[in-house]
Amino acid sequence: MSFDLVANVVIAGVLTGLVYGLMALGLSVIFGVVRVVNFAHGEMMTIAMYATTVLFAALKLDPFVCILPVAAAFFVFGYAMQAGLVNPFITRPEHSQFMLLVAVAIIMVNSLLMIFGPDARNVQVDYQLESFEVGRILIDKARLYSAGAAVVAALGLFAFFKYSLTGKAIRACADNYMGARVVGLHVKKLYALTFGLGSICVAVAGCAMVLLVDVTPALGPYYTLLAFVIVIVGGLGSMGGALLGGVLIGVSEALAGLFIAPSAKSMFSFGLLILVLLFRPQGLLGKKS
Amino acid sequence: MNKLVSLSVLFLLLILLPWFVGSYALSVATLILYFAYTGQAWNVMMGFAGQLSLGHAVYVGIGGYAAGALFYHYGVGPWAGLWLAMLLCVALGLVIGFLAFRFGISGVYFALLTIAFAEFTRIGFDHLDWLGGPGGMFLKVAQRDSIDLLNFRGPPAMYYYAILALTAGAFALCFLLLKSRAGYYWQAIRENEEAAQALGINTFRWKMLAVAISSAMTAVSGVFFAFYYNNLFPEQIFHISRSIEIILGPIIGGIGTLFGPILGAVVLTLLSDGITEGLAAMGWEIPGIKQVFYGVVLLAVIMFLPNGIWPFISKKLRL
Amino acid sequence: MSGLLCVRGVSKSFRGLKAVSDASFTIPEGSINALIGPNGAGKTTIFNMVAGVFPPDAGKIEFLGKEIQGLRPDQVCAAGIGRTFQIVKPFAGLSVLDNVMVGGFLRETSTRAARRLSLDILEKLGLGPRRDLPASSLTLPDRKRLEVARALATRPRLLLLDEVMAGLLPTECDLMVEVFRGLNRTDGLTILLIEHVMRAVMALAQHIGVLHHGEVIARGTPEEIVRDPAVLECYLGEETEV
Repeated sequence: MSFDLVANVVIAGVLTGLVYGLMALGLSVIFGVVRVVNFAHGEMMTIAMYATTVLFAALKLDPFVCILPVAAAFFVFGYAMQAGLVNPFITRPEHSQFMLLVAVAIIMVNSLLMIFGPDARNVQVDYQLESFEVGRILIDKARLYSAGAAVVAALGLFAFFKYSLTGKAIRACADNYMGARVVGLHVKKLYALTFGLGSICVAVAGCAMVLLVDVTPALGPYYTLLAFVIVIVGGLGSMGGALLGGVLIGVSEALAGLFIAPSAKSMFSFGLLILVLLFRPQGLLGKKS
Repeated sequence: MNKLVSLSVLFLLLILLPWFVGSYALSVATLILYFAYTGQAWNVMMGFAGQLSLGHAVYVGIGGYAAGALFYHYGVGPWAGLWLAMLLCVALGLVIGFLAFRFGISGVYFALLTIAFAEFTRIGFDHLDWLGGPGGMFLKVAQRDSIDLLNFRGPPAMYYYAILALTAGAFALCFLLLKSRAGYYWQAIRENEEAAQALGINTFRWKMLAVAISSAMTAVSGVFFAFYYNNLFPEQIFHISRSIEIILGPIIGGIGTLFGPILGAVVLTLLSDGITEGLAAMGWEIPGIKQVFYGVVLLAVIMFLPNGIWPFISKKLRL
Repeated sequence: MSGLLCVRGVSKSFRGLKAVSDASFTIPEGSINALIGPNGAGKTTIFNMVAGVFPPDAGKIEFLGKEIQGLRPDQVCAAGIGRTFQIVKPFAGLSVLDNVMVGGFLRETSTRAARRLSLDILEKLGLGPRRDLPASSLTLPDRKRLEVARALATRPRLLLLDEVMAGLLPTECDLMVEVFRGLNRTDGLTILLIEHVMRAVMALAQHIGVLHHGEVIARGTPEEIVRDPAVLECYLGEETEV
């Protein structure tokens, strides 16, 4: 097992992990602010991936170009979902909200199955086969670009929450629902906006991911669980934690795939989830509630 | 009195069912009862102890594999395998329960914990060649005409009566539990754990009891599954879709109620089979449509009848 | 020092802030006692330590001669101490009768016996006619009675009442006072109450302990307390309900 091989695998894991991180960031934002367990998160990601394959097949659009229309569509969809479906449920017991999104997830996954069938689909672009050489290390171009898109999107989100008025308003809602209402913030609208933003993250991550893996409907539940593992490991409510968690999971998956067996890679993630839930439920960078 | 009479009539009809219907309908009835029984088992953990388990398939799988492996490798019949299945499942359930309750994990986090255990087990079993690995384990299917009760082999009607007995037994058990001290304590814990503690209830112990009963009952479900379908695949039996199938009945029918899981299983299986049959008759076979249907029904119930169909119906019919 | 409940030198700090400092008092059997003091004086903290919600940092709590500090709430209840909550916690989905039966099952194992006990207690507290109603449909005073009934079903020797008069109208308050007086007189129930409503305290309590900044600053009968200079000083400017 040469050092080069391990290094390549780790770097690939980091890059893929950044895309995972963006996906999880979307969940963290939704869960952290609206307190809704978006059990359809992975399914939404899968829909974004399929949308990109369709756009690519029909219009020959590069996945990164697809980001704009897909993200816009997802924003609208996410906003609508929160406003129409979830907002009326805010006062209901927790497991009700949860099951609501489980139902949505089931519908999503199986609709994809009905429309596209179980076979894998993908996108073929030239630069997928090329890589950059840095010394003895090979970095896949596609992977680098995807990770770059993820980082740009994440930074955009950070900036939004830190500097814009709306972003601060959303943070206020997350901190104190009643207080936010008392000062006149239109909380339900802001919740919908937040869901829309989280959906944008998923859209960008999906467009980026389709260059790295083949898409099947089964990815939906898998990514949902992965997103939760990342968010919990990284720490709920911490945006940096989501990215860090994503990288961690990406690397551990890559290493587990190399040293144990490719099929065992997610076992590690679930084991990590169990350990984190037990011993450090606030995650690596999260705040103790 | 009304309730008792209608129940007895229903039970009588169910006993006589194999004489009326063909083999396909009988297999559907068996499936309905299977989901009713397993749903009832899950209901004990959720409806009684208030813990949302989204990884319940892990007990079906471990129960099935335990009894299946004993039969496959050592020729030991399911009546003995049953005990091993229950033992292993209760042990696992207590581990999960202990980890969750001692560490204060509840709600969504508990659900995620159960999912993680199920997924971990699924992938793990894929790598256990002694149990067949991803290729699966196949149990010998003997002649279906004679009844070999010892090895639980026989005609479809035998399986039907077995699951009918299990479902009736589960129903009776839950009925007795609900009326007893255990039932009151569980409901109290579910409503307000702090207040329950102040009334002398050791909530940890009672929650563990619910988990133990639920997992033991589900183990039996797994054993039935193994000897009815005669094949076990990790990808299939531990998959999260199985866990979701298990909970659909109780949620749609009504969590925590006695009739909920049964009603939910009936509604779901009849309607979904109706749809698939209807489509097949028109020459369409669409993979995934059954699950979309499940999702839509679940969504509708959660939005409009959040306590489930049974409470709604029983109020309307003044039962 | 013998008595039903002995609190000896009990202290508790939260993140460096001393909530209770070396507090001691004794509750004789069969008496009605009140713990009063301004907000933040430490009354609820002492209460919660006796009830087993959290253990004291130092000191001992003895009940019926046995040490109970550090026991879990359910163990404390089994030992014979019942409690109510400041913000009532009914089992909303259960009926009034079922609520009390949950308490009754501590000492009775059969459903029939638990039901009989619960019906008796409901009658005593005037909730009999509402026994089959869902607990969520009760008015606040009735919820408070339900809370008391439920605790009584565990057959406690000592009943801890956490600001049970809060939110009640003066007439409702007087009715509750009568209920407790009756329980104390006929059943010999020992009562310890935390209370801000002076009307109730003066009417009920035979002994009063005054807390201020986590310390017991005065002990005595109502007449003594009302004249105690330390008490008057800490209460000056405090609104008292009359």
